[in-house]
Amino acid sequence: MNRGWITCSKCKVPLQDFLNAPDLTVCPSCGVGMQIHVFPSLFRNLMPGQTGDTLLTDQEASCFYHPQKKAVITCEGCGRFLCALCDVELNEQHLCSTCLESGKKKGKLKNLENHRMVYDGMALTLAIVPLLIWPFTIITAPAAIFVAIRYWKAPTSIIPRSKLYFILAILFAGLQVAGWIYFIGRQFTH
Amino acid sequence: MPKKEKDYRRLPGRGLRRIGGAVAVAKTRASLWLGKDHLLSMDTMWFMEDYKRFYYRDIQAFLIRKTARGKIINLVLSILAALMLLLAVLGGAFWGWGREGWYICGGIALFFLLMVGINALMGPTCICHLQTAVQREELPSLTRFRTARKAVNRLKPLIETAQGTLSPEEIQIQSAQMSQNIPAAIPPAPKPVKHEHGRFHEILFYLLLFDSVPIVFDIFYDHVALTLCSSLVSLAACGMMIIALIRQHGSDITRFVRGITWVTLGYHGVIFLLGYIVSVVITVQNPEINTNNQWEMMKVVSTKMSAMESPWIMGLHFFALIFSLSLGSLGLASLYRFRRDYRVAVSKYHPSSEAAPAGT
Repeated sequence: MNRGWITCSKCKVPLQDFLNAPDLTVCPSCGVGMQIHVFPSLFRNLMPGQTGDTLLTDQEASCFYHPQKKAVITCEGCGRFLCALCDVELNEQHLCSTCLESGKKKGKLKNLENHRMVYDGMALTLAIVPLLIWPFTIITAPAAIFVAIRYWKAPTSIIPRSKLYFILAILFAGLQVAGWIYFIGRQFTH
Repeated sequence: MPKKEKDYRRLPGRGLRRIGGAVAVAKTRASLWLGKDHLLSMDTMWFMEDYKRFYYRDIQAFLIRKTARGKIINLVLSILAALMLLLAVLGGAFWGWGREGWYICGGIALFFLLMVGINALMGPTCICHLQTAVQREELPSLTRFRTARKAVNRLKPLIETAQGTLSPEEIQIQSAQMSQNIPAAIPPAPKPVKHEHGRFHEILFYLLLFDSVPIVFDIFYDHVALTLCSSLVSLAACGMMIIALIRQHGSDITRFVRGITWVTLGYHGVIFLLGYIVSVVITVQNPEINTNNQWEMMKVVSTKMSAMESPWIMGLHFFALIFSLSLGSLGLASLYRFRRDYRVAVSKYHPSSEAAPAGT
């Protein structure tokens, strides 16, 4: 992408005269109707990355990772001194690369999370979908209960929701297990 | 106790994101959510969720492009509804279907028409893109123009809070500054156009004209040779049509000739479908026919289905006759006109070479 340029999403021809038009405008090249909404960042220059200043005297604090560079801030995760190069700003927090990596791994930095397994959905699917081929429920119903109990405290979707899926999964799977117990019990008693 | 503020609020729109190249190997459900400082794009597949965040301070633009997908869907659904009604008519005429046939086919046709209505009510379709300094991301959940507009209107104040606002004058000034750099940076790449002489189109149109001869004879005489001849001509025309369609892609051949070639494809598709329905009707009416023996089938079609006795067969013959004659003659006329214009253009720019070069 280039600063200040908007190109037609079909024919890639630059469209400078149609920005923020209230109605549909037609691309002069391919003739498709388009509406383009632009914002100030389109015309803003990208800030160059900082490299960090070199230490001039021994009295100055140095960066933990680059001893020859001047520290400008402390990591809010581990307290280490950081130079301008090592300082990573995320959600108004200043962190070092190690804290960033461990925070992502442990799931403490929610904004870095880009994938999640939704266990409540898995439990409910296991409890309901196999009903279509009901003999499979002898395996899937206990599996659904196991998943629901094992991952009860695990984070669900990033969009907060209640434990309703888990409860429904346990309810449906519990009924299936009860049905199987009754069915097998009858086989033995008769 | 004060009510906890929600982290995300859903934006209108739902859609599927294709995973894979030209042929989608899977599809994920896509949705958009408004966060405190970012827009969250969520893709859900079974019990896995993938997230992408677009911070309000980084969003440069939204591009909403209108598409013809909704119209195409409506066209396909209308054709399906018409075919169901046609089936009901044919069923009543050939198979002796009673009211039940009408109810079933009519019900299905009504369902298709209902879908057409819903699709029309949902409004025009679109493709929406979000642009930042480093990417242009498609937003598959915004597939309707109205929904996309609604979503962008909800996003606008949040982005403007993060970035500030742009007045129309500012946009004009900035655009004027930027447009000075554009021509040097993006030279418009002209598409290479090859010259197509249209030899295969010519054969196709002659075959269409020739196809009318066995059709006319078939109206008056019932003989297997006529049916065989007509089938062979149609087969040859189909082969030529495929080659012509491939050859005309990216060539300088006129839009009219291209259009006629595409209409020929549609015509053959309809003829094939009608022929299939007729063969099914014959098979049902004559259970003694061995359907595995195509020769026997053809003999029965030629002898038992006389155009003079059945108005349906007569109608089919007239349909084929009108289309093959008009497509063939129109196609040849436009092709010869294209060749004449090309010769004139060549002789104008290269007076030394009077004769047009052979087609590529």
